[in-house]
Amino acid sequence: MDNIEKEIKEIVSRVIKIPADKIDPNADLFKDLGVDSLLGVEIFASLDKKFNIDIPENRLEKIRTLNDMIAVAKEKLNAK
Amino acid sequence: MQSSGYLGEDTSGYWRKLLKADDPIPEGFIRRTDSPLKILRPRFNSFIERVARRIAPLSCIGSEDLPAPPFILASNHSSILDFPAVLFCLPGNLREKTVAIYKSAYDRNPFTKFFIKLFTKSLPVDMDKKPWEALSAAEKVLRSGNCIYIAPEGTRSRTGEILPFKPGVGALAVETRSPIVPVLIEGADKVLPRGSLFPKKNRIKVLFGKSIDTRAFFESKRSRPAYDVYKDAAELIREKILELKK
Repeated sequence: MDNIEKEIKEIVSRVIKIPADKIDPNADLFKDLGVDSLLGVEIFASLDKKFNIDIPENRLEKIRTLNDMIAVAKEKLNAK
Repeated sequence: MQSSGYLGEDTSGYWRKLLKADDPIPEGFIRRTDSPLKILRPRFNSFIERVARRIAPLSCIGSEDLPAPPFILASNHSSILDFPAVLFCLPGNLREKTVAIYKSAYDRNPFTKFFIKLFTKSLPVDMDKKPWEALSAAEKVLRSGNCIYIAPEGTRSRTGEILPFKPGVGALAVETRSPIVPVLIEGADKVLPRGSLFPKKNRIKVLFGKSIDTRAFFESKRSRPAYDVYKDAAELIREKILELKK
């Protein structure tokens, strides 16, 4: 796991208050981990703050898992 | 004051950007929240109101003390009659200015969608997948001087108990710094409970509480995660509705 993946997992863990090692990267954050849609927005807000990446609205609704977040964040960081 | 989101940084700018809260209101925005069916609305609603009041005599308490628009009306939810009951209690000028937020799932049934659009100005919301769209639209309704009606439980209670409130109502109130009027509706679930097609005779009582000032919540986002502030605001509204029961 590279640094970005670790950092994103850590951010998600802090926002949803679940230990990082208990988060399955393929689990649906909303259905499996009980994250409500607005807490999801808070995760995106935290990623935005940390990495200064602007995730467009039409991508937000498709992000369901930690791996989805990592993929989008990496794509945005590579595009910088 | 030190900013403190979950990462120790202020995330409220992201929220405002997502809600487009600092963008100008698009031309004709309010007109677009309404349907061409509005030309039939005065006669339709007048007929429905007369019939409804015969089946379910309506008591309205506190509607004379409502603040000047814009504001948010937030009520408990146990029947599809909740919003009509609130609307029929509002003075005429506020009826015109109130936009109801409803679950977009209702639009799957064309019959239901038709009646909602005929009855009132409305905004369908998908709070599960695209909460920002709904909140952004509602923010513009309020910013343009209109009112929003919302049932923050998100679904009709089956037991009569008031369910926990979704934080979206808090986000809307806090980001727009709009007053919220807590509204308790009693008896609507006896007239038309969930799953029932035919109304039964019963009185409906609508109690409007004193409006809640949300500006202090907005200020508190500087030192707390925005999401936590929204949750607390939603919980306060629920408590104020519960107080109206006493």
